[in-house]
Amino acid sequence: MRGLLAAVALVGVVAVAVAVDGVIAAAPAEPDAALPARPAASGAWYCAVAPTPEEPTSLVAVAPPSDETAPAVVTLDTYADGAVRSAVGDRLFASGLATHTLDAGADGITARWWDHPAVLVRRAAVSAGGEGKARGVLEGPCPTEPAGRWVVPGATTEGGARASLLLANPFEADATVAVTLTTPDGAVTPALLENVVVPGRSVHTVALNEHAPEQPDLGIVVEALAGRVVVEGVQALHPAIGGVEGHALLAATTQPAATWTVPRFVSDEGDRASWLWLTNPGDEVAVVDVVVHGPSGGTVPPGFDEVVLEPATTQRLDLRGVLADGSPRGGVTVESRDDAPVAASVLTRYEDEDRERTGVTVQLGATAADTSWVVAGAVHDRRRVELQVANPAPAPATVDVALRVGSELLTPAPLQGLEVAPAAAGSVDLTPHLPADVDAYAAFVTVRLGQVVVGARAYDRTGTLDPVAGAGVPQASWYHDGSAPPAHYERGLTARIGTSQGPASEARPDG
Amino acid sequence: MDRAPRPAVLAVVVAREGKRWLAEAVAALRAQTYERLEVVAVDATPDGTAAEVFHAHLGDARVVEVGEDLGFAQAVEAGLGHVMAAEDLDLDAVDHLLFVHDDVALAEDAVARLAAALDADPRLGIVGPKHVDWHEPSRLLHVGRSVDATGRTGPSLEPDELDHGQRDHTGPVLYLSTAGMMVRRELFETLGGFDDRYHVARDDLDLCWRAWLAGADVEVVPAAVARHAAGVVDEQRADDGSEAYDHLVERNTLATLLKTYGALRLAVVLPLLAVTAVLKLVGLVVARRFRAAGRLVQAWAWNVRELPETWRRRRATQRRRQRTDAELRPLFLLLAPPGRAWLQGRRDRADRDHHRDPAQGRRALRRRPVLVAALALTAVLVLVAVPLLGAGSLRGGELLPWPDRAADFLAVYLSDWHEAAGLGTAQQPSPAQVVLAAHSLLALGNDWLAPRLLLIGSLVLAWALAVRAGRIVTARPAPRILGATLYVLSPPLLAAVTHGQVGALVAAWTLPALAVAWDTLLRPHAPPGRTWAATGGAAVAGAVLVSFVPAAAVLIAAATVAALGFLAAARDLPRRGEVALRVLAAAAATFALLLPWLVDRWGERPGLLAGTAPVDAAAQPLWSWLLLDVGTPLAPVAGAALLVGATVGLVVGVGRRPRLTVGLWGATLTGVVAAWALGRAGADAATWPGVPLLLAAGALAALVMLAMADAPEALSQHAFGWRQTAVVGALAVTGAGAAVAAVAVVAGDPWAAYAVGEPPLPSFVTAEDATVGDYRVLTLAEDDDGGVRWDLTGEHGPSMLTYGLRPDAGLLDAVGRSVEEILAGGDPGAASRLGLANVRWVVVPPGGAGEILDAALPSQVDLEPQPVADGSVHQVASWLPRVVHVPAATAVALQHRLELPEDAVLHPFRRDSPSSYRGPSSGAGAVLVAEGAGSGWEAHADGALAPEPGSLLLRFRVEAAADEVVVARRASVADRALLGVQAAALLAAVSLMLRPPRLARERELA
Repeated sequence: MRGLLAAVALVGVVAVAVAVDGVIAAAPAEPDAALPARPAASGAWYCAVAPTPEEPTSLVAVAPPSDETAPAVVTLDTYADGAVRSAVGDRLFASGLATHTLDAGADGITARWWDHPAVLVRRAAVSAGGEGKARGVLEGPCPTEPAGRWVVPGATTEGGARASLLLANPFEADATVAVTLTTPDGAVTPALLENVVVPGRSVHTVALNEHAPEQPDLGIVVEALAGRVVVEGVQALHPAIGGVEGHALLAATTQPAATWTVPRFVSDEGDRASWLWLTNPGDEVAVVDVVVHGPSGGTVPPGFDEVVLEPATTQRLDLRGVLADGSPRGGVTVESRDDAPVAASVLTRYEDEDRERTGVTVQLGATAADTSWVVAGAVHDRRRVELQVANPAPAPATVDVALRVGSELLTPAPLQGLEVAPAAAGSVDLTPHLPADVDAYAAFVTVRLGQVVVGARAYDRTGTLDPVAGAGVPQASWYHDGSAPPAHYERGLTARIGTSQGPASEARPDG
Repeated sequence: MDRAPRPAVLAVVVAREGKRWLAEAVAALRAQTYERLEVVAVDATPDGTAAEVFHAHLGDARVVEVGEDLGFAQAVEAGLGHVMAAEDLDLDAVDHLLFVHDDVALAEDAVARLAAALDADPRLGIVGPKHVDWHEPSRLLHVGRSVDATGRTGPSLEPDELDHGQRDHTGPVLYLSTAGMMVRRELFETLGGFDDRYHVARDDLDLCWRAWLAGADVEVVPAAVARHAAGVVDEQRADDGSEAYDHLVERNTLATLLKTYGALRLAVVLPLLAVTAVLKLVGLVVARRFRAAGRLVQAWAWNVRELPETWRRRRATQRRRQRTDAELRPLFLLLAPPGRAWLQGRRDRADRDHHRDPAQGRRALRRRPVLVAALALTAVLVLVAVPLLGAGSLRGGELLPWPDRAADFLAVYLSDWHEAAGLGTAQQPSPAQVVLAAHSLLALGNDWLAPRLLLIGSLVLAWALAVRAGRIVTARPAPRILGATLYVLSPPLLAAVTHGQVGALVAAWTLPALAVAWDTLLRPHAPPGRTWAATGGAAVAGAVLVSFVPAAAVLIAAATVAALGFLAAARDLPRRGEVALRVLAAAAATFALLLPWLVDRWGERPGLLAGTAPVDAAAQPLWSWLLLDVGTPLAPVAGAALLVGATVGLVVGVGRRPRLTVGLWGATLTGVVAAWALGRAGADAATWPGVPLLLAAGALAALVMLAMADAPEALSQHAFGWRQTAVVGALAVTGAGAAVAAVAVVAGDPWAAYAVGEPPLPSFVTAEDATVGDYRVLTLAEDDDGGVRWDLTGEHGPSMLTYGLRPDAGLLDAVGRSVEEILAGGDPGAASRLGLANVRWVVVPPGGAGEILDAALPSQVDLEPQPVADGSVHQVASWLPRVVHVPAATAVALQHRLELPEDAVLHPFRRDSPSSYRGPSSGAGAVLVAEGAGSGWEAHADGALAPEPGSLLLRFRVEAAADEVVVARRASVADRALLGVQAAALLAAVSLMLRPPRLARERELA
């Protein structure tokens, strides 16, 4: 009896303890406080320079406005043929905007900044060769980081068009890459491009016409087998066929995404026409919806919903006449269902009877809207500069535009409080607000309300057209939003590699 | 035909004391039937007491009084000298010499038989009688003697062997006792007689061995019998202690070997003897037998001092040599005494096995159930562990690749600077290093065997000690075996072995060892030898446990307080003071054994009780801990089964043995609550919750033992009915539950947490130390929670040498910040800070890659990816050697931007030892040391270099060029002193285990 009583007492004590434990465990945990955003501590820009530059390449470096008063410190290194050619050390950008002309013969540029962010845009005038004076302008921001994988959403080698791939290796160690070409019919991997060695401190150029001639729509996927590279491309149109002459920078992305917004395309503007290149670099089918943004809102044109992109393919969607309100220009957003990652860009052909007034631009989209953007470039008295703003969100957005000219920061009243309707896109002519005697400009777009995607277009009003259209640089490029994945020191992790207690035995999905 | 005259025999009787036996010994001589026997007696007693007896039996003419104990050899010489001087006796006319001790009585025909033997066989030089006990003549003492190759004797007879004539076939032997030895006079003279330096002991061996070498045989004549009191050996003489005799044995044996062995064999045996002597000396010192240790040293010193004389005698012996050492080999024992005893035991068992019937196997099981069960358990464990027995290193959990040499553990422990998880630290390592060194030695220094022995051996040891600890509950073997098996198969122990929880594995056997030790030391009536040995054992086991599981210090402290409280309350307990002294001694020695480490950890973050290895802990509800659920398959089933059996123990035991029953349940609940608390603390707890669950599992198993032991008697009071059925059913459920859970563990993938023969890092990452010096390797891996885990190792990858070491917190934080900055993506130069911290490689293992790292790592300017098949490996381009001199411009740039300029000129220093580097200084600049600030490193050129403040690196300003700058870290005098105290505490604990203190010995004698 004594034993049974003891057993009952024990069970009672344990039951009470278990109940108390249950109450304690049910208490809600305190959520982690969000960290404030702050400028990044340092950053880098890596540019490949187009081959055969006719004029020296110029760099426009911009220090975006921020609350930080410290000047940006920038170092510039150029390299070619495996060696660092020239270096500009610790140049201060207290004024916020500076132009630097590179020495001839540089293949690539590496810029590092500290203390305060700086945005780097390069401009190069190139000759297309052939009869007469064929020329074009390459202008746009440089990539901010090297990567092991790059995707160029579109290029063409059809009808006299020439496309080149620039593989820049700004580092000392050699890199080896594999280049896959995606077409509407699937992927093509030329044997010569399976192992392309890119020596350190050099830029290797791949003429895509030699590997995929007469391809109207060509996507490019570059995988680094060893080392890291920076990838860009050049699209050239030859006037002999089709009458359009020009060069365009083919920007590449390291992170295909489910959503892309290109702030400008031409829908119905005489001889000008745009098309959308969509590349699905993944292994799964991507189904995308394409929304076009006019001045008053967005619509899905007939045939633009549920566009099926087979794995490793590139498709072209003609954007002529897709805006329901008949607007000549607009923006376009691509949304992938099931979050399958894709890449998108818009090519615009400028046709004219006068060959000098023809040209081509290719504008890479942006993967996410942001609250602050920078666009910059070279400018002169004949140049017209347009700011393009797209609001892919279903809510209105309001933006302010400030202009940096030399050391001066201008805030023209007409450029303050610009409203962008929900799912709408529009452009603002910056030319009237730029002084006539400057050779470079920068525009800072600050969003008061909502989030937008910003780009810029520029062309000469007389003489050669030399159009350029590029994406703006979002604040995410130089700002750290304060979020970082938690890092835990775990002693013995190395010893547990390859065991059930170590890192997972199967790789996690890549982004 | 005339018969040849019988040989004349001269008996020399030497009395060194022997009043008790002398009269009978002399009388026996007088009673000999042999006619041609003359007797000369030598009184070597200091007080001349033997002379009276001699005069009474032999008359004045045959007695020599020397008046002091000259030793046997000189006494014989005195006797023979007396004969030579005597007018009525011609020594040259003597054929044989007979030596007689004062405690030997020869049978009346013994001399006749000995003389006849010599007469009959001219090859014989020395003969001797069969020796029987003085008081029990039916008991044999010896029938000839022998030694092993190192001169050690061993029992040639069974203990208390009776004489049935079974040894009468004995013939040639290596040597005979001088008590009753008969030797041809001419041979004796040729050999130069006894070695007169010997006093007593081994003079017989020495003479006989030399006789053999000279071509004469030595043989026992069993028909001749001598009753022998064996006074010297049996310590019956008043003036001879065993230590003094041992000293003479050691001394004279060595001298004999030096004289008799040939050069080749001596070259082999002498080092062996030296090593044995050193070990013996250590053992004597540890056991606090300092007098014996001193005599051992004296014995060797005597031989060194006497070497010229010994050498002279050796030359004479070797000149007479007619036989080789190899020819004499059959006369020697093959093995040392312990080996002989073991071999003999095997032979005996083999003989018994040869004749056994089938029922004997079952009887053996009944006779030795624990041994049989232990062998079966070991066999099963080895069978289950076959996947771990492949070639190559074994790693997993806390078990890291084992070093090549056992001495490396000690070198790390005693070093001034320690490599801890890739980052150096001045903190004293855990004494676990010493335990691992001892374990490694046990595994013969084999890096393949040691980790496997740790895993399997810990389980077997835990089982064996649990069986022994079961004696606290019951003496019956069956409950103890079952309870110990339940303990070993309990979920926390199975989880410990399958998850590589080294600390828990050590706890698994130290906990029952502590239970045994504390139970013994608390017993007031147990023999002092046992209780004080238990005190030493408790200290050592406690220190071992705490060194692997620091949180166990709480357990030791609690046990001490509880024991003292119990003693304070138990006023009628006998010898309370001595028991309390043992309790305090055990606790004090435990903490003294941990001293330097304990002092270092006091007040350190993350706390004294924190473990040294990562913890895989999760908050679980209390009931799951009660079911011992540590994540192994069917763990709750096993836990529930144990609870059922323990509940029976509660019901049965609470009335019969309330204190034990309540104590065991208290231990169970304490372990469960501790595990619950550790689980809630998560990684901050730094102690695996399975460790306190081991305490709970052990207590539950003990309760099951209690149930099995006491239930039969308790139930016998009741008629057969539901009680008996319930108890049997509950115990059956207990056994079945534990068995099912164990089978589920084995049937799953029990060794998934281990990797065999697979290095964790690519070989090109770990093979550069010879070319680039010391460096560090950072491992990054994404986890399932959207975070990244990281780890640092040295250039050789993880190693068990870092067990129990905690890296420098400052440098660890700095590396952690760099990792966070890399992951944040806001600074492409963040990886350069890793390079400054001597990180040369960043490795993302297969399975560790994901979106976060794929996005973060390529953006880092300083991370150069390397081509690898799986995962990714990055080399840190701006890597800085561990200790390096940089010019002033580079130093300024580093200070300003914490990045190494591309044009930096580096002069790496050469490593002399883990705590010392040296190199030239080409000019003004700085010496950078990739260790944490405040770690105690110093730099010297012509004088001490001034340290400069730095956020990441230790910096020393260099003003001018110098041929050599030495950068070193030296342990403080206090650290060294604490190490000395620790060594002394270890000696004291081991000494207590070998020999109780004088106080206890005196009490026992009283």
